[in-house]
Amino acid sequence: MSRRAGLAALLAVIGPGLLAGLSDDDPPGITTYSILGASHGYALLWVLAASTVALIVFHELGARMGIVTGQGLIGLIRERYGVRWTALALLALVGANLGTLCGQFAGIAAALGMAGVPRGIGVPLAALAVSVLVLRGSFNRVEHVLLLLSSVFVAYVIAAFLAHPDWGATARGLVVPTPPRSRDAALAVVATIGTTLAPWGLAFIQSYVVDKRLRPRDLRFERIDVILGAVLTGVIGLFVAVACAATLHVSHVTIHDARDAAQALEPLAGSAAATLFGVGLLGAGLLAASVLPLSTAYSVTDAAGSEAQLDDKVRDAPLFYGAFSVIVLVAVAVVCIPGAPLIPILFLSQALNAVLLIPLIIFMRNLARDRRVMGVYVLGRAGSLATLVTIVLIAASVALTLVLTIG
Amino acid sequence: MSTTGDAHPEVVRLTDLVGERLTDAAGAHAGRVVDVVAAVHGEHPLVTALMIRPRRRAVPVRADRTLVAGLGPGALRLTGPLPDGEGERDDEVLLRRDVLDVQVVDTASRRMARVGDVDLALTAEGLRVVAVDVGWRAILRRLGLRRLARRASRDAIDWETLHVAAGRAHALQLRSSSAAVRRLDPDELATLVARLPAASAGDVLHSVEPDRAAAALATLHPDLSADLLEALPPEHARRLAGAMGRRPAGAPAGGERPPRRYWRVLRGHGGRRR
Repeated sequence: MSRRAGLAALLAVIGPGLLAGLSDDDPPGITTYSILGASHGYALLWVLAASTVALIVFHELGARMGIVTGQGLIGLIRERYGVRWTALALLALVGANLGTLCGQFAGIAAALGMAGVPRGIGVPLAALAVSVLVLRGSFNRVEHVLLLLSSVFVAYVIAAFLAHPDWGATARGLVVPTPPRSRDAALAVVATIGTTLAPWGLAFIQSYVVDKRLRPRDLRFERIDVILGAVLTGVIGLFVAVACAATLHVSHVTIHDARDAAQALEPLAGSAAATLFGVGLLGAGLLAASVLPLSTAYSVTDAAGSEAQLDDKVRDAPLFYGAFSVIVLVAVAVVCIPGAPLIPILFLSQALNAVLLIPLIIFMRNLARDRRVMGVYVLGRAGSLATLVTIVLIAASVALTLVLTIG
Repeated sequence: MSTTGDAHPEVVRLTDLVGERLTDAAGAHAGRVVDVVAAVHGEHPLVTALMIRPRRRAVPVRADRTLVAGLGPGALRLTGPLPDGEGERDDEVLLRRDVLDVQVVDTASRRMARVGDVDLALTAEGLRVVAVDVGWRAILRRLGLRRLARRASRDAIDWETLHVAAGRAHALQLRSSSAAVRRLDPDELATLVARLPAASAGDVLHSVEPDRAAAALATLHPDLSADLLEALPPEHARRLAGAMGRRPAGAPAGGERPPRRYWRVLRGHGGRRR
């Protein structure tokens, strides 16, 4: 294949990995990485590096399973393990997605709050707007605007440099795995894992490669797509954490609300930092709040075996539209509870992600190691070991957090 | 296998049969049914054997239907000793492994669904696969929610009109002379291949007469037909492309294409490819 043909093939394939990876830079993700840097300085940056490696491993696995089987994750679990295990996997996925959607709406509420818009009005309106745009198939009209708004988080890269961080401590934090010794540190580790390797991203990437009808010959390029998406999200997450470590951590600021988190952008944006942060939260929150319910509804219909899609009428696909509506309504209701703390919703939902992630990645590993499912693309020894180590480390982090919380 | 009592054809659900205990000729517990073997011939596959996990043994063994008597809860019994080893034969599927929970395309109502249960009816020759249940009733019943299941609707697809989307049952259906795909007109064939994974769609196009396959491809969205041609062996693809070229122009740009879940929402992100 010539270099030009190779580039064309790569561009044709690119998308699922990039989108699934970058979707981690959403309001819950930015908040979690901010807390990681603000509360723990450079010490826990290795978690971000390890999570990015885990993201590459499991997103590659999801893409590979979608390409080889032509099925989404939940559908494949049903085919191989039957309805009872599917119900368990679906409960874990929907639970995690609901938490993350609450996080997206909490991010939107925080952004609107900085502009003086009450969440009781702003969040339902935002939810209604994205739902109508998605369900009517007109979302692409605003998609690029939202992408542009959420791209302001790239500003963290410049902000981090301008804050003159301790690069030596950054390098040490990235490669020396300092174990978490307090409950808060353990929780930050778990939330960082949960936001980077988000369950909905796993279901989304597998479903999206099926949607694009990618084939085994595309796998080589899809791997590049996955690595690109994961590294980009890891790099942005790193600079968010470093910017916060160099500003908030050194001045002992704890993040209680969005304005606290926004201070990390002050070296770049000065007094406009809060506005910049709010714009990013709003754009990224709206973007994720549109795709997440859609991905959830598809997973629910996959479990039941229907092929519902956006073109269907409501009466022909009640499960699809029902699942979409219920998850949006519940998430809006949770965030609109008067006085509901937005930062804990944004942060703790990601810790919940890590807990609910465990059964899903166990299913993924077992499916990928099954030669009847994967044929010659079965997960090899190195992949089996890498996924096992990831699962064990995540489970150990969750267990440590529980022990430190209870004790 | 035989049933007792009822004069009417009796329908047995696969999921009721799987897990059932068997007794030996002396009435002692001999093992449990782990799968049901059926030969994919004719319009309705005939159950030829049960896969039994004998008591205190890990590996299931095949018990030909002549070895099993009785049907229904607690009635299954072996009429002789179980042989060692032996699984399915070349023309057989294991219904639990290869059909249950697998995606199927209903060629009559042009939809894709997932098998919640398999209906087996007792005929003069023995048990035959007659239909699959793809509705909520089967799912709820298997989840143990029997009260809810009774209120849910049954949604059955006759075996004659369905095609299994992938795997061993898909391959054996294509080999069978009475398979649903052989009776489809080009339009129905197009509906089927648009829903199948590319590799399975390629198998289907490879198994029908070239003229019919070409006619089906010509009714698809051009992007999809190009995709499917790529999934075929090059020589066969060239022959089909030639046959398509001889057809009157009119491959519709808005022709059938596979369900697209994210394309409409995210078409700014690579969705334009197809």
